[in-house]
Amino acid sequence: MSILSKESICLNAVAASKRDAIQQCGKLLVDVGCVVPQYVEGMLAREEIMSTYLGNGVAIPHGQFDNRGDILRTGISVLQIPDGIEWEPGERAYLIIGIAALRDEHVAVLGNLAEVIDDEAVAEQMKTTDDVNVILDYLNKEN
Amino acid sequence: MAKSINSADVKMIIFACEAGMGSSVMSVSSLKKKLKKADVQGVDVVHVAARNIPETAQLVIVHRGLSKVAVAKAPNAVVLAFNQFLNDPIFDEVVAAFVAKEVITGNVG
Repeated sequence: MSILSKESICLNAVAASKRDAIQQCGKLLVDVGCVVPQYVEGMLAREEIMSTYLGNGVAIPHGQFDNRGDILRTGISVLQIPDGIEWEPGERAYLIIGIAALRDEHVAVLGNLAEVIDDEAVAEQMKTTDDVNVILDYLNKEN
Repeated sequence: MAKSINSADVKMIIFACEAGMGSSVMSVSSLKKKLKKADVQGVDVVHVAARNIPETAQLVIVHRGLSKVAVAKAPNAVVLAFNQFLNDPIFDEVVAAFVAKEVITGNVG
């Protein structure tokens, strides 16, 4: 089972709030069997302590250290919100990347994500594409 | 008091975040790329959860909100606190210090 698959990507989503976006992103991880529902509560709690907004319209919500017991296997989810949702005052997030990691199996995917954030043209494509393969190709790229 | 270390003596740079699964992983990827671009060799960059920072750590880079934890876990380490996970100015400063083989002084403790 791969870390990131079509099943854990949701395009063209709409979120009523940041909280709603995190819940949708977490539910993708629940639905593919990466985490138990309790983990999503941990994602919300983590966000209360410190924002996971990275810049350039990307946020990476994940649980806290103590939520590791709620992870069944390492996985990543992607919630694309073309209209964006305010994540911090004055900052909107368009790509919400949910993370649940037991060990380091996801490091390559996050490395690819760092490159996407650095490249505005690619980031823009990821935020607006209606083709799930575009997301998969960038994030699952082998280095 | 803030500690110092000669960059030439640093074998490993440790990035720490709370859970050790998200933000620090991104920062490691970003710094590794910058070091490679600057042709700095012989130093490894790893990520850990703040509570797992080894006591023997030499250079720890951590978000400001966790800097006290880092100092408590590795009292002899040089601790650098930053505010942004990607593209914080401190990353370029660290790379420049390694290129010039300068002494790095912590900004915490």
